[in-house]
Amino acid sequence: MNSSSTLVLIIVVVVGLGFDFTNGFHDAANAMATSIATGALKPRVAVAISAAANLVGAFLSLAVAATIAKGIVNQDTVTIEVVFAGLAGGVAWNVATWYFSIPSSSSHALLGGVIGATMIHAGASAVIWSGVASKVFIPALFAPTIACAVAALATWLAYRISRPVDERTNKTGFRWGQIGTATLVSLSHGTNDAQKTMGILTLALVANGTISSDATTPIWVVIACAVAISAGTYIGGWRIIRTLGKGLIEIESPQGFAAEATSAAVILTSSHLGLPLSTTQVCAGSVVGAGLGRAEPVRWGVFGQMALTWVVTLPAAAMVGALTYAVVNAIGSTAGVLVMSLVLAAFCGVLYMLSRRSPVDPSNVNAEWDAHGGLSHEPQLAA
Amino acid sequence: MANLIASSAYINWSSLGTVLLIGILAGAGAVALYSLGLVALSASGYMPSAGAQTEGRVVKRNPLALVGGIVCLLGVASIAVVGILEIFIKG
Repeated sequence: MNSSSTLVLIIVVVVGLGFDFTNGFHDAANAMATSIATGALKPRVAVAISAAANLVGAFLSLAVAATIAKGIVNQDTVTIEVVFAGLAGGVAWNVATWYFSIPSSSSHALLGGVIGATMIHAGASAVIWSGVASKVFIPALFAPTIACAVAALATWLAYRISRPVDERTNKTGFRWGQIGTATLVSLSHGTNDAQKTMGILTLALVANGTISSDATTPIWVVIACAVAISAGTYIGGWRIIRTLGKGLIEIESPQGFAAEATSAAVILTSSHLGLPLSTTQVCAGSVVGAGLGRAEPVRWGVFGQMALTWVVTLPAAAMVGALTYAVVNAIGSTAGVLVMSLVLAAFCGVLYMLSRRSPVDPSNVNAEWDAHGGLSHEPQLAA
Repeated sequence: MANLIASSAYINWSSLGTVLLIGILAGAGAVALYSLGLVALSASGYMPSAGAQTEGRVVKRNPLALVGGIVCLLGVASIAVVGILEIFIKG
């Protein structure tokens, strides 16, 4: 292995861990948004619990580490530049949707990036479209629908059964329940999402010839990915936490408990059956269901923007992945990867600076939701 | 792309049905059981209600309701344990 390929590998590993980090802060909302919104947990405590559960979860299972992109693209066509371009698409989409405060699937963004890069590298025939349909599009349709139906039933039952309980006991009891179920969702998130980055980094190591194709995931990859997703979760994607916790419905603790219990049950069941449902889409569907179960008004405009984002996630990330690969290919492997990683860093930096003009943090994450999509001076959702 | 249009062929209806069924049993079931537990604990008199405290009423204690409440909460905990075990089994 020469020094230029080592440099490319190092950059890919750094960008991969960057993707894992964005995955963490993007998805912190899935587990903790409702617990923060109902006051079951203080914001900082919530993300600390979620980060710890993600860290533990990342070490519990390695079952999906080797299967990322399997059945989506022809793995023989994957090169280290394709992996880099795929990661760039995933990071760019995660940061952009974070800026606009929209929960979206990090996994779909990563797969979109890989698909786009593969199409430029090896043509559309290298993409397994039936796999894309069965692993991305169809789950995207059913994940929120199933979660919504189950959460609506769970919420209705929670209010119906607990009617004789006085308000204070009710609120305290369900808040405790929320803490348990939210931790379970965080744990299952750690077992699934940290492994996706482990898988993609393993793929890069194989493509680079660093390890053989039948080698197991190196331990340093496992540790680095676990720490990255946990750190990202602790940073807390407050903008997305706010949208999921306050933007869809005015949530109370029985609804939060019902939504989290539903999310945990649906995610763990689908994981057991090998059905790749998106954690983000399940959790958003559960929150909507929690509103419907109490016949409470749901902000369909906010949900519509989320759903639209879910539809465009894969093609948008694919375009970024394709563009990145084309530029890398045009400039040359090492220089191209270096240039595009700097462009990616600049893109993330600019969005971060722009986000500072309307910061969302633990102090205002639970502020009242207004008609403009959040805080009065915040960029409108999907504007 | 024609494959995408005929996407119904790729829907694993039995897995989706199982997710829905177990989601209802484990998710909604756990919520119902937890709610029952709260009702029983509240009725047991061992968790003083806000109203009783304010009014200074003497609350009658019911150990049977307490046991029932604890059993319900243990039921919910066992569902959660099954979920955690699933993660370990997968690993």
